[in-house]
Amino acid sequence: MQWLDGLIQGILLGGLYAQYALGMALMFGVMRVVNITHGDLMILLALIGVSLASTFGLGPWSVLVVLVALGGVIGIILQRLILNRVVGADPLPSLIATFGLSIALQNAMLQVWSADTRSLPSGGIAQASFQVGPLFVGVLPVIVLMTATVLTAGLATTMQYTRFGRSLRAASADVEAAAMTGVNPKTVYAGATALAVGILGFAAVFQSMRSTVSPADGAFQLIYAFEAVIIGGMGSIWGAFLGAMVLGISQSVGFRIDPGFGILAGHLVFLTILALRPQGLLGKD
Amino acid sequence: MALLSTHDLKARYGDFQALYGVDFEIAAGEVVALIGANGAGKSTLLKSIMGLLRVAANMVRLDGQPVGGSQPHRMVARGVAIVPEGRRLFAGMSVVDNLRVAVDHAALGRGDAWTIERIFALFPILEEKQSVPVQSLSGGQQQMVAIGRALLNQPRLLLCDEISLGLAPKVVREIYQSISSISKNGTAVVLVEQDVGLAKSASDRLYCMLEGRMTLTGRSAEMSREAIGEAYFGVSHAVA
Amino acid sequence: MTQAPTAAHAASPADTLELPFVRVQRQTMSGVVAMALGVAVLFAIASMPLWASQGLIRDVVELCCYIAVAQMWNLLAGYAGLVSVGQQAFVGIAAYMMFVMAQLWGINPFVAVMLALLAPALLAIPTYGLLHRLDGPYFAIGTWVVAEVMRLATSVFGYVNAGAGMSLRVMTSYSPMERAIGVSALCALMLLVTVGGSYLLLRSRYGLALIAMRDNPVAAASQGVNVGRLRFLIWIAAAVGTGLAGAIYFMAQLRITPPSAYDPNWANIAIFIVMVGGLGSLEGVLIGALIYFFAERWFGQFGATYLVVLGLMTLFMALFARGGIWGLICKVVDAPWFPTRRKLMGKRT
Repeated sequence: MQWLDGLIQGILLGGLYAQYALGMALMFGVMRVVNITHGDLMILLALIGVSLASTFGLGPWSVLVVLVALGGVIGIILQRLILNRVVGADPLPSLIATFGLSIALQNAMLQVWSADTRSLPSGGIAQASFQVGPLFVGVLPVIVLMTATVLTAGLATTMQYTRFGRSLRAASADVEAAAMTGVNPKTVYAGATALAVGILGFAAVFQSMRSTVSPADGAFQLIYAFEAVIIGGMGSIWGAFLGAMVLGISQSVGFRIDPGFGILAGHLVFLTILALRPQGLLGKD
Repeated sequence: MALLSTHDLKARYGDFQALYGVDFEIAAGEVVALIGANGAGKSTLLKSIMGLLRVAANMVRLDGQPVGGSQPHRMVARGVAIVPEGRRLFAGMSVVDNLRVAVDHAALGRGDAWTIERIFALFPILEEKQSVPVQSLSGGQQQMVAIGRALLNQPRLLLCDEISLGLAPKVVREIYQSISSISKNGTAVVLVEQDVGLAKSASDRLYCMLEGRMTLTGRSAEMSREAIGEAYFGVSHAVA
Repeated sequence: MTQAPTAAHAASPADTLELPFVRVQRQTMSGVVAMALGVAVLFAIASMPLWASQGLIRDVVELCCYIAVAQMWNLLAGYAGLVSVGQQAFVGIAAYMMFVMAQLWGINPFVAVMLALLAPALLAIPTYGLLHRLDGPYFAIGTWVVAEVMRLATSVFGYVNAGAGMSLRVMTSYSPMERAIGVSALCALMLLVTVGGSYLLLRSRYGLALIAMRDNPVAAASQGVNVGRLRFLIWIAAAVGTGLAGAIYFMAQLRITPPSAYDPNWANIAIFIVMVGGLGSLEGVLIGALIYFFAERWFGQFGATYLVVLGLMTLFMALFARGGIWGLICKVVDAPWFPTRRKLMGKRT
């Protein structure tokens, strides 16, 4: 029963990781931009959400709407001000630029919010659970998983069938050729970043409801997002979802073997896949 | 009035000057060929027109308006499309998706003279392979996709950069037949070509370039081999 | 009629050809001055126990460790084209190996610092094997995960006291003066090996190969540079250099825990120092290290705001001044402290 429980908890955890990973799949997987601030932006949104909730007494779903919209705006600003200048074949400039921004952002958040951990009042949802056979399953994790699935399906459909998705895929394949075909790369990239950070709004709300957030947490979310995208395969939206599931299950099963082994198990699975199948599970050769 | 003209066009790649004051023009519905040896500046000229190279605004004029140095996607919106050197298709996307990107960003107000169905009629093999990833097509088929993609931008002016390169003669004939029907539809076409004979026979007028300058221009039918030879290689390179 | 042929036979090529006078100049005035200053600084560091306070010694050791780690990152990213965000793996493993050798195996701690370098070298081999085929960002993420794996594995490894960490109690058997002498000497040695060693490398023909590799690996390979092997050797050398800094740093700290040993902040410091100082230049590393060190000392007491400023500086450099501060200086003045260029000089008139 331990293993089944571990599997189910892992899938639910994967639902949260998928929400970090989707934005990363867009930016890293499709645009080839390394955005070190990805995790910090999620924390920033979460901290803003917690402050809004306590200042204006907003419930979690109102906070969600605000954070997703705010995330979109932040994404556009990030792309226009910084990332547009470092898009290109060489990943080093975008890595260094976002690294510097990450340090600045983390410490600015530290100054504003201090190192205290905070969480979002969930009105009881975080504690509620229901019984499935012999197992107890939390209500919140199921909501997180369903949201993740809907977001993934929506994003994958957008990339495959909409004008925006085609333009983004074209710009990622060959930005000059895309421009020659009429695509405005700046607009398309801004849209992609807005989408990526907007999705983080969901992750921000769920993470702060299920657990606590503090300014320095960004690095962990970042590493899980990268791992999920690489496990799943670059350029694949469902790949990021699958990678998040693999990561969540590895961590959860590892945790049940030994509490100190959980995260380590996830990293070892990541390194194994990197060694055996670097293009990822759903990646093209 | 010329549809597109360049005036004393100068262009550089960093420290290297590629064009030294080039004058060029094309009228609506014309087919103009651009020939010259490797490195003469033919692709550079097309890139300058398309906005892929920064040049002074007044050096390139469309409908008499200065457009030099515009963003490439703005040139597409104005009705200029390019079949680039090396095709530059969107790898990882299917044939039909490659075409759809062009449809998504077609120049407005031009109606829809070109549709995906008409491209399939022009190049039937593409209809058969429409869902296939574009990188798995043969060179000739990829060239057809590249031309189709440019046409679906509904251009008034189509720039073709060495579309016969690396293709079998039979395929080249097929493609040039399609050029002729494109021109009959009213689209002006610039053909950059290495094959002088092909360039002569396919065009109304012809320009020859050498080391960043125009060395010869005139009606294709009236040009002599000697004149072209001198302009192509330069009189100073003449042997004996 | 017969004159011309005999005249043609009589004159041979050696007589008529006069080889032009050429000289290759590698040193500059500024380089000579810097070299003299550098030697003086090394002596000053090695002699610190004679004139410096305990506090100052600790500060200088810390600064030297930053310089060493940053210079190793500079070699990797600026020349070998390997961007790593996981060098802390080598800091930690060397430091832990030193603690194990000195505290658990009874080896002389100062000798242990050198012997412990075997650990980062051995770790470097399989990590390179695992990661080297990966493209830029994948490689970087991979190095980060390896460092995290080391941290987590050490936290559950009972032999080294797991998460509680170890103390270097054997050091109490040495007097404070003896400890100071040992640490200062090792520090001077570390700078000599990492900064001096890099300089020697860059001036040698391997340096030319490295610069060629940095500018265009494919072209360098076509000229006979064994790019793969050179990258591998640089990777190992950087791991060992980084490990040396780790072993010395924690020997001075006297205490080690997994989170401090494998602290990602080492990577942050290296990246900041190199990118703000100037990627690919030795001068830049020194400038960047001094900036970081003094910013932390002077402004750290006011909270984390100075880090916000440092982060924004890194961002600014990445966007607008890829050559860092040294790059900006070079645009105004051409006076390298570590000249590596070769100038072809003609005959002096």
